[in-house]
Amino acid sequence: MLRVVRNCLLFTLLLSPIMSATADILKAPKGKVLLTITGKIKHTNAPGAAHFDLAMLEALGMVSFDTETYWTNGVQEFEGVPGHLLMEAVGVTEGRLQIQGLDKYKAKVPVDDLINHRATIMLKNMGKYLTVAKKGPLWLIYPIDDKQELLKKQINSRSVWQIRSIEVL
Amino acid sequence: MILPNGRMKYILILIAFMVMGSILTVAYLRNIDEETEYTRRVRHVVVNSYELQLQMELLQYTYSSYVLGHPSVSKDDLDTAYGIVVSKYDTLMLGDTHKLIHRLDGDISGLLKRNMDVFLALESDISSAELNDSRLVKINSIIEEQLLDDVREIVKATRIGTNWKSAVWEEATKESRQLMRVSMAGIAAVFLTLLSLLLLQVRATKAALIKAEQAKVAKAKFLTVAGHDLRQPLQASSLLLSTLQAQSQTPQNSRLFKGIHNSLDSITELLNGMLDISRLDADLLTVNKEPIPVTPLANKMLDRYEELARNKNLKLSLINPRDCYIRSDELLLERIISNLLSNAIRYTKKGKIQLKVRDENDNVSITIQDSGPGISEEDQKVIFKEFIQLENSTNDSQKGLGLGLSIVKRLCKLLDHDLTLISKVGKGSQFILSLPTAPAMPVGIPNKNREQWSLTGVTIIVVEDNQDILSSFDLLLSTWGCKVMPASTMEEAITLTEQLKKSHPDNNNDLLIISDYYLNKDYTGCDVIKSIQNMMARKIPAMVITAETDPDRLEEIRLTGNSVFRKPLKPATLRVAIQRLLRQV
Repeated sequence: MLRVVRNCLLFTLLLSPIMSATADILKAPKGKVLLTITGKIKHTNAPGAAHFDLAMLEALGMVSFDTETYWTNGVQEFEGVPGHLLMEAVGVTEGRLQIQGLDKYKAKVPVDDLINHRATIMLKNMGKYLTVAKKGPLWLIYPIDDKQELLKKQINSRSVWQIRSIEVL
Repeated sequence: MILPNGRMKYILILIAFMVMGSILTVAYLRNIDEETEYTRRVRHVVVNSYELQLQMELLQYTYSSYVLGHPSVSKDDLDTAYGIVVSKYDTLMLGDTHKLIHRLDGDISGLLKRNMDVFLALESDISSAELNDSRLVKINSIIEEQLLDDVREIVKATRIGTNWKSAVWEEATKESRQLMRVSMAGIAAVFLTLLSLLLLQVRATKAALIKAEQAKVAKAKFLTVAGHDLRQPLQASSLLLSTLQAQSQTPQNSRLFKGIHNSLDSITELLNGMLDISRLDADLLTVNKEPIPVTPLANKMLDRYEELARNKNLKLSLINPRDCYIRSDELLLERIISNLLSNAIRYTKKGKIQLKVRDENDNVSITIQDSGPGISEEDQKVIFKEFIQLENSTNDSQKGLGLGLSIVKRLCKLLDHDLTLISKVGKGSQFILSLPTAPAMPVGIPNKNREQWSLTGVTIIVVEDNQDILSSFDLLLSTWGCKVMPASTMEEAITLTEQLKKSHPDNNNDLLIISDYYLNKDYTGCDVIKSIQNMMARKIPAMVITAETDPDRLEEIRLTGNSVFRKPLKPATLRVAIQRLLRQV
């Protein structure tokens, strides 16, 4: 039903070695904290937690793709951090995540979705940073296309918007 | 109606049925999916409407708290709360959710849009909110009176399930329901086809059965008629032959006479067997059970087969210790015993044949025992089938059709009599008939001693329309010393009776009437007998001879009080019958 143009953009090739350097020890966030990851994580930058600001998230590497969602009209271009990169950053390879939004919505998402099903933490929509009003600042989106292996109802309940925190179970 | 490719038809129906069945299954599963999806989408709308209301109230609280200087509420919190409310409007106004709301009655979509515009107009006021803001009352009342009222209205509209039913459910599940309807109609059609095919088949089978049954009855009727016509010349030749034998037997030709007699007997037997089996096949035999005295029956059987046994140098004897009555159909029982006796005589080469009657409480057993070759266990299983003959190699004139035991078995079944066979190779056979006893009837039991009475001087009026038979009767009876008065019509018989009355005014005894049954379309033998008896003013013994085989008809004749004999009647039997009739008077 969908045609998705997927073009991976690594922000700059130069960032790659820095990224791998930060894989061991997370830097402390300098700006406003957008995301807090807690639970069974290997890498932290605060007691029992990993905090991310916008710059740290963008530094993980960004991709962009066009997809439809069940909550928007027509095909939309999104840009964000591939889930597997975020998981690498905190050293998580398996298990489940409990993702919570600003409006207190909670959903359990398998780590596998992020690693193998291309679930992506979106930061931008149509080139603009997502605001709270536009389901930002972070929105977990699954590309809906012919490579999609998950059922509609799974995608529906797991696509958490206005993400504030993730707990690794 | 049944096509030759009948099986193909059913295979096609089965395939159609399976196809329709799988379509129905697929449609059903799809319907479940569609229903689930529909429920999920509707739930999504309802939940988000509630969320809008909740977040709106939260925004009102956050805004008031901030303006009034609540220490734990920051400007950031207010912006977030505002953003969340906008996102809730978005959720309801975009994508799948909007598609659903759009269809709801009462223009919920328009209401939502207007409501959202009012809300968005508050943006500058809220984003520039400050402590002790003078706009607090105004904004609070807009949220309270304009926004929340409408939002509650929207929540109410989306919460009611029936609203969704007509708007969305029908469309959401349309495909699967249509598919289910089609497949169910298909299954119904397949069922109807199958049912009508089965009905057609049943009807065709029934028609075929009826046709077969009719053919059987027609065959039996034809055989009966043919048998009737065959019996006439057979009777005549038997009587003529006896007369010829009496007149011109010499030691040289006696074997020839014996041979011809045997052949005639065989033809008679074959004819009877054939008729019996066809009547059994067509279920034309009616059973007429009544108490029968065993002794006269046994004697009659003995009379019938004595000569045959004597011809083969076999000793035929009767063991009948006491008189008793049984309940059976006399004619059919006679056929059973006749068949068993003639079989015994046919297959026994030397020794004896016994007809034993034993009275045991409620049962009378009649045993036909022979000293024949016996029947092996294997053969015992098949001998009751039609056209089975053991010892097939023998090719003598005594050979039958092999119908005898089959007739016996079927008659026994018809009469509900048990038949047991005890036999061992080389030690003879015993056929044991088990019959229920009947209460004795107050009738004088005939004497068991069968004396040979002389028939000399007996006057016999013979009424017979067939001239051949009439003359052969005349000849035969004359040789026995009887005075024969032959008549072929009622008028002749009456004339003869008048003559007799004149010549013997004292009306003495030793007068007998023998009449054929079918004489004329206006009267029967019974009518002639009755006229003669009326004229003579006493009950003269009379016998009716007929080729009729229908038991009902025979019973009818018997009810007139006359003895009935079936053609062809053998001279010996005729003689014994005459003796008995005269003696009983």
